[in-house]
Amino acid sequence: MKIKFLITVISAVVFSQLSGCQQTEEVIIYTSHDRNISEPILRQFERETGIHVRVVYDTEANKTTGLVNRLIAERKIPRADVFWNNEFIRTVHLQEFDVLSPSLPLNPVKNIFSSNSNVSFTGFAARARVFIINTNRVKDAVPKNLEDLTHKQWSEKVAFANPHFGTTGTHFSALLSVWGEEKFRYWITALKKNKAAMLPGNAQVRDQVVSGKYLIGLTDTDDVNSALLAKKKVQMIIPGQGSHGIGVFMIPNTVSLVKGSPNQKTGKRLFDFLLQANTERQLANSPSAQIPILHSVAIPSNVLDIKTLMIMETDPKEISAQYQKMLSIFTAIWNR
Amino acid sequence: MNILQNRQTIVLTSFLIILIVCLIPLFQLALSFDFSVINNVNTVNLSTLFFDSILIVGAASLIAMFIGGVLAYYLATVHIRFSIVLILLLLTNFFIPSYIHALSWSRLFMDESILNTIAIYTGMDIKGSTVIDGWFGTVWVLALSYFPIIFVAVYLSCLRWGQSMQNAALMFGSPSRARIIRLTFLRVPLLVSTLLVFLLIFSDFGVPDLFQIPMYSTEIFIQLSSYYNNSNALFISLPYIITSCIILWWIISLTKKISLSLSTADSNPSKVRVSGPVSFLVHTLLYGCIFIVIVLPLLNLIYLTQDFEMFFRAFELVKTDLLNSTLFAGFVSIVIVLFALYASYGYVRLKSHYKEGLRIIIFLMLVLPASLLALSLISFWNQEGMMGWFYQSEGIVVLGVSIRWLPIAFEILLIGWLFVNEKQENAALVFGVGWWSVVKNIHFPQMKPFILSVFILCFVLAFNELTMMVLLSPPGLSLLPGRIFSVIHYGPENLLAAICLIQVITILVIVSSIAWYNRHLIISTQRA
Repeated sequence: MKIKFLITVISAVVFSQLSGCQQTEEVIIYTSHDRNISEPILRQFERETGIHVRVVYDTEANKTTGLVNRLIAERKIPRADVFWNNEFIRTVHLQEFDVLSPSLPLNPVKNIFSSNSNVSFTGFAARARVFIINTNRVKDAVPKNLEDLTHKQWSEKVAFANPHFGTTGTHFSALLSVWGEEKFRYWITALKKNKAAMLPGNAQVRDQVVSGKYLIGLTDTDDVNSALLAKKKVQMIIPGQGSHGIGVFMIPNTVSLVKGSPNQKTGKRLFDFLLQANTERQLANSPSAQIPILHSVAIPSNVLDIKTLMIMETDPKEISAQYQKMLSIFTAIWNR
Repeated sequence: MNILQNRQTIVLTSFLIILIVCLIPLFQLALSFDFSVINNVNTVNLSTLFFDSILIVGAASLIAMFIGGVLAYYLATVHIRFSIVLILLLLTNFFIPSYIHALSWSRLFMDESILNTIAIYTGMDIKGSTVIDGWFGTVWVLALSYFPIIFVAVYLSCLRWGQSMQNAALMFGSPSRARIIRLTFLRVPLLVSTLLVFLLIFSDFGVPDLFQIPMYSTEIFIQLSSYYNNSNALFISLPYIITSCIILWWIISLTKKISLSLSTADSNPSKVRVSGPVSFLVHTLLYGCIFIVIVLPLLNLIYLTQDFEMFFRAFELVKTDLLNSTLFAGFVSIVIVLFALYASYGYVRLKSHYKEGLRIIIFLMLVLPASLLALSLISFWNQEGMMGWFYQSEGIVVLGVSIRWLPIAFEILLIGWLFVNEKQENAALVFGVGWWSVVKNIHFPQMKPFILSVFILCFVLAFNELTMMVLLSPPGLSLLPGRIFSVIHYGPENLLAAICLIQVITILVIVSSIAWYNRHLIISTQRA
C-alpha cells in the first residue's frame, strides 16, 4: 500500500514537472553564456512575449564547447532555434559546418573588426582581452603590450589559458593573422623561454594572479571584473594602446538562428530581442561587465567604453581560417 | 519443465537487450569512424601524457588504498568508541562530488578560508599558499574522493573474518602470524577495489582540470572540442580502453577468488580491545585522519558560507534544480537497478563460454569517454518519428546516464547473485511456483542489500553527472551540478560554498534515509 502511494506521488511529481514544459508557443535556445548572466535576460523575454523559453546551458566543465558539438551532431535534424554564443570563433565554425542560417551583420560590429572584414554573424556586447595584474606584488612597471610579457623581469610570473579552448584560442589565432607566422612563432617561443604558465582556463588565470602565484595574467575583462567585484587586489591593464600598439582584441557575443530549426518564428523574435539595447545594458550591468558595441547605452564605471579604446583590426573569417594552424604551431613549440 | 524453459527465454532476452542497448552506441561510433581524419596525433607527447596520467592515477589509487585499507582494518578489528559515527563520516566523502572536494580544498588556502583565519590568529601567514595546486592537489583530492570504495570493500571483508578463522590462523603460530594470514585474506578485496578506484580516477576530468594538471582525458577532450574530430578522439581513447579491459580481466579473475572466500567464511568476528599508548595511538590516527579527510573541508565550506541568510538565499536559487536533480537521479537509479538486475541474472544463469565477452561489452560503456558515448547516442536517436520523440524527451538522458553507470551496477549485482542458490530457484519452479513469486520470495530477500547498495551508488553517480547532461538533456531541464559550474565563474564565493553544502546535505539526507530504511527492514525481518 505504502509503495503504491509512493509510486503515485512520484509519478504525479514527475508528470507535473514534464507537463509544465508543454506550452503552445515556445523557443529553444542553446547558450554557452554563463547561466546567471543569461537567465534573467531570457526570463524577461518570456515575460514580455509570453513565449516559453526552453534553454540548454553549457558549463565551464566542458569549456563551453559541449553545445557546439551537440549542434554539429544534431545538424541533420536540428532541435535548437537560436544559438547564443559568448564569443564568435565557434559561431564561424558552426557556419562552416552549415549548422546556422546566415545572419546579417549589424553595422556596429564593424566597430570591432576591420572595415573590409567579411563578417557573417550578428555580434553584440563584447569582452576584451586584457592583463590582470596583482597590485600587491606589482607596484609600478606594468606591461603595456603583449610583447612585454616576454621580458626577463616577468620570467615565471605570467599566466595564460590553454589556447585549445575558449577566448585564448581566438585571441592567439587573431595574433597569428595580424602578426604573421614568423612573429607569432617568435612570441610563443619567447613566452616558453620566459617560463610563462599555461593554465586550463581564464578563470584559473584570474585565481592564480589573485593568489599571487603569478603576477600577470592574460585573460578577459569579465574575469578581471569579477575579481575586482570581490575586492581582490588586482588591476586591469588594456594592452596594445598608444601609437605603437596593435590595439586590444575584442570578442563580441554572437547570436544566430539555427538552420531548419523547429520554431523559426519564435526563434526570430528571440534573436531580435537579444539584439536590443536592453540586452547590452543588462550585460554591461552584470558581473561580466560586457562592453556595449551595438547601442549607445549608459554604462557603469567599471565597464570599458568602446569609444575610448584602440581596437585590434581583425577579420573573423581569417581568424577562423588560422585557428587550426595556430594550434599546430602552438602545440609544436609548447610541447618541444 | 515449461517454466524452466521460460527461464531460458528470460536469460536469452536479457542477453539480447544488453547487446542492443550497449552495441547501438558502439556500432554508431564504428560507423562514423573515419580513418582519413586520423591526424595531428603527436604520439610522443601522447605517450608521455598517458604514462604521466598513469603515474598520477596510480599515486592517487595507492594513497586511497592506504587510507581506506588502514582505516577499515582498524575500525573493523579494534574496539573504537563511536565507530558507527566514524564509519558514516568516512563514507560521506564518496557522496560528495569530486569537484566539490576540489573546490573546497582549493579554497582552504584562500585569504578568507578557515585555515588562513586560524593561521593569522596564531601568528602564521599562509596567504597565497599554493601547496594544494598542481599534481599534489590532484592526487590528494582524487584519493580522498574515492577511498571510501576501498574502505567498504576491506571493512566488509574484515567482518567475514570470524572467530573460527582466527582460531585456525592461530594454530599456524603466534598472533602476529595470524595477523599476516588475515592480511593475506584481505589482499584480494583490497586489490579489486583499488583497481576499480584506478579506473574511476582515470576517467575523472573535473579534478585535474580544477588543479590545472594536463591528463590523458584532457587530450581526448581537445580532439572533440578544438578539432571536432570524433574519430581522432576515439583513436586516442584506445590505449585507455585497452588498459581498462586488461584491468577488468584482472578484476574478473580476482572476484572469482572473492566469491570463494566469501562462501567459506563465517561472520560475527570479535574485536580487539586496546589500552594504554596503543589505544592513544590508534585513536589519534583515526580521529586525525577523519578530521583531515572530511571534517576540515566540510567546515571550510560552512565557514565560507558565512551566514544562514546566504544559505537560504542559495536554497531559494537552486530549489527547482535540487528537486529536478533528486527526481532525475532517483528515476535513473531505479532504471539502472532494474536493468542491471535483469542483465546480471541473465549473465549468471547463461551457460555459455562466450558470456565473458558480454561482460566486456557492458564494461566498455564505462570506459568510453562520456562525450563520445553521448554524441553516438545523438547520432542514433536524433531521427524523425518515434525515435525523435524519445530523443526530445527526458528519456534520452535517462538512457545515456543509465548506460554509462550500468557496468558498475552490473558488477556489484553479479556478486549478489552468487548468494542466491540456484537449487532453491529450480525447486520452486519445478513445483509450479510462478515467476513473480520466485522473484518476490527467493530473489528479492537475498538480493536486497545489493539492490539498495547499487541504488545508493547509482543515485550519487547520476546526481553528479555533468557531461551527459550538457550533451543530452532536453531543453529546459535544469539540474544542480550545472548550476554549481555556472556560479564557479563569477561567484560569489559564499554563494558557491552554500550551494555545494546544499548538494552535500541533500545527498546525505537521501542516502541516510535509504540506509536507515534498509536497516529498519532488516531488524523487523529478524524480529519476525
